Amino acid sequence: MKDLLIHVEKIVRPVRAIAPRKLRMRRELLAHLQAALEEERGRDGDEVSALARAKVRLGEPSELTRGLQASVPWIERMLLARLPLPAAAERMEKYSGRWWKLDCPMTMTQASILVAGSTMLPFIALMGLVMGLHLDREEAQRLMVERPPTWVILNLGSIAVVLALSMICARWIIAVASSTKPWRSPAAIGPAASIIVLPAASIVLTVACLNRRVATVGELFWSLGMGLLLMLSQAIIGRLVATLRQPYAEWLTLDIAG
Amino acid sequence: MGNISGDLLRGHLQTLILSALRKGDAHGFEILKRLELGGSGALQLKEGSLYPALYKLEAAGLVKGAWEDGDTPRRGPRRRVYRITTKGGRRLEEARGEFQQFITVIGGILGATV
Repeated sequence: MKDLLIHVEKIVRPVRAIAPRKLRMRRELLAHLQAALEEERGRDGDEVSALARAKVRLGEPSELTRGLQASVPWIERMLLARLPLPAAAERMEKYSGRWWKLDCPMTMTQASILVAGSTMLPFIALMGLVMGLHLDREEAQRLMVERPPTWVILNLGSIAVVLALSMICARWIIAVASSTKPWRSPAAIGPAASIIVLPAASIVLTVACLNRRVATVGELFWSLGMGLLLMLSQAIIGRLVATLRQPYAEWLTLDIAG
Repeated sequence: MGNISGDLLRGHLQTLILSALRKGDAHGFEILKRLELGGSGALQLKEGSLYPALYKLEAAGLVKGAWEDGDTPRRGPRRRVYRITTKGGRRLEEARGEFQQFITVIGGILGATV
């Protein structure tokens, strides 16, 4: 069965089309190939030669890919065309994909949900966190004038927290999407704990820099609560990605290089 | 009788599919079987090429596809069953007329019996 899946995937994966269309192509070709294989088995009991004949009957994979590509509406082909990028940009894309865990096989819709969830939600959560704390704004303005380096460090630190939180959220979403029991997975526990702790740590530092005092218990609880809310909302996104990924996972994880 | 394949089939495959579907709703493999039977074994079709043609026909509204019921007593992945639409039926009639004219004209030039 895996041989059939790989053969179909070799034909369909290079086609530039939306994921549901490609899934339909995969399913139809697989059903056809399986029917052809059953017919060939009836002629000759040898499984290997029957499989080879069924594949030949289907046609040359590259030719079929071209045929399927031609059946995709032009607007879809154009929108999904891969633009030639300089080698440096390709490398950067690959590298950042690894950091954000986008190198995990998934469709474009799933990747978009993951990116949107892991970038926008942490930003909203941090905004809510800061607004809920009623930090001393006059003090912040005075700091900006009197101690510009501290102000710059605080801002750079905030950007770093947002970036780190985005990256961690992406990892958490992937961990939830890839496992039915993420709380048992070491790859998931770290990001989940970090999502809860990181906002609280950043608030402790922010209050210390801005107001030159130690964060109160109320502030700590508020920031831990926001972290927990963020972690749970990301888990919902992870489950959504898992649900959307389910029909595609079997195909996308196939290694067709061999 | 020699085999008919590649270039000779190109341009006619969609009409052949419409004609096969005139006999009743069918999935890809069944359409192929009907074509093989109709061609008395002379049609040499790369089976996979059927699907791009079906997708184009469906996009043009000439056929309509639907996944077969999940409770069909059959092993393996679900198949998509196609049926010819009214528009597809009209297109088939037009294509028949065009082809009749083609063989009359070309057959006359070549001196073939039509």
